[in-house]
Amino acid sequence: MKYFIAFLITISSLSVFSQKVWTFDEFKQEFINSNDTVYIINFWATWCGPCIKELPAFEANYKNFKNKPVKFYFLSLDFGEDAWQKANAYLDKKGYSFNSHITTDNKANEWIPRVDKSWSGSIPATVIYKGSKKYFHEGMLNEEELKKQIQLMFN
Amino acid sequence: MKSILLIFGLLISSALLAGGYEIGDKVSDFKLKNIDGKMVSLADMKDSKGAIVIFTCNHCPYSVATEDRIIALDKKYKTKGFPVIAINPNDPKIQPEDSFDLMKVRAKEKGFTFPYIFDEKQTVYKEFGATRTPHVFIVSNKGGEFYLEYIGAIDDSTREPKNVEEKYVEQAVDALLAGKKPKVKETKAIGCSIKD
Repeated sequence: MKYFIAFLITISSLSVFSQKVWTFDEFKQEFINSNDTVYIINFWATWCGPCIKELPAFEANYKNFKNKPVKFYFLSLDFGEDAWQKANAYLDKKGYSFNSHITTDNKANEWIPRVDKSWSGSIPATVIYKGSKKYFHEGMLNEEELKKQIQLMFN
Repeated sequence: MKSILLIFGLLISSALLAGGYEIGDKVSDFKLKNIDGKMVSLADMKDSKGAIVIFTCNHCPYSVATEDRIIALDKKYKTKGFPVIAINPNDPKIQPEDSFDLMKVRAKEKGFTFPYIFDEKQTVYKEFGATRTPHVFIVSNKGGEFYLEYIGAIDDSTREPKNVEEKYVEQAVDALLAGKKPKVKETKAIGCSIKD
């Protein structure tokens, strides 16, 4: 019984963890922490046409860089209590290799400039980090451009 | 000399191309078709103190999330001299839900109290430098000429109205009505890219 309760607590805390609505700053602090890794964060939503259109370019590069220290993160701006399910059910259905976290648009005026000063706030938008290097792009990225920008981070 | 002129010309044209008004700039008039078939321009607003120009559309969930707030802004400020003018900047060939016919449908469904005009040639949004929907530009009227006073978001929580703490547009218009400049002149917010 003791183990069963421990099991239940673990499961519930895991699901709470996975469905957390991240602020950008919390997310960056939690996941962007090694100087040797290229981190790609893509802001998207299932309702955003151009976001959906560029996902195959991310999938292709996810595979291109599979054996390199490259990590892809997706921060969804989907709506509602089931935003996390919506975003991840979409990625599953389309057979993408990655999943998504959920982020909030609260206080966007404060955190958008911390992603990049040039970002007006439209999505999709992508930011790439490696150590002190940063690349930012507002709008869609194609497979070649994304590949080039990731490679440039290793130079 | 010729080359200097050429470089100078290029600099000017690239500055123009980069587009987008800055706070304090004079805004050129536009004339766009409203859902009732009549043309709407800033010149029509010469008796008002200004206008709340909002680039928005039918399809974008961030626009839909603010529709009630846009109606409330118009109801609150039209009588005080700052009516809302909503402009759909999207190309319906890319986003069929944003066609002129569906603008009429959406305006009727929601009971829009303001003009909802169509930037069919997609030139006006570029002049303003709008990049997303919704994207707000508040202008004030000085002797029939309109000047940009505020660029940005309606408030600080587009997706969840219950989390709103700062009503940027209301604060800006209230300041202008009191004869002052808005304290916060530019804000950023998440939105849908303009479909062009």
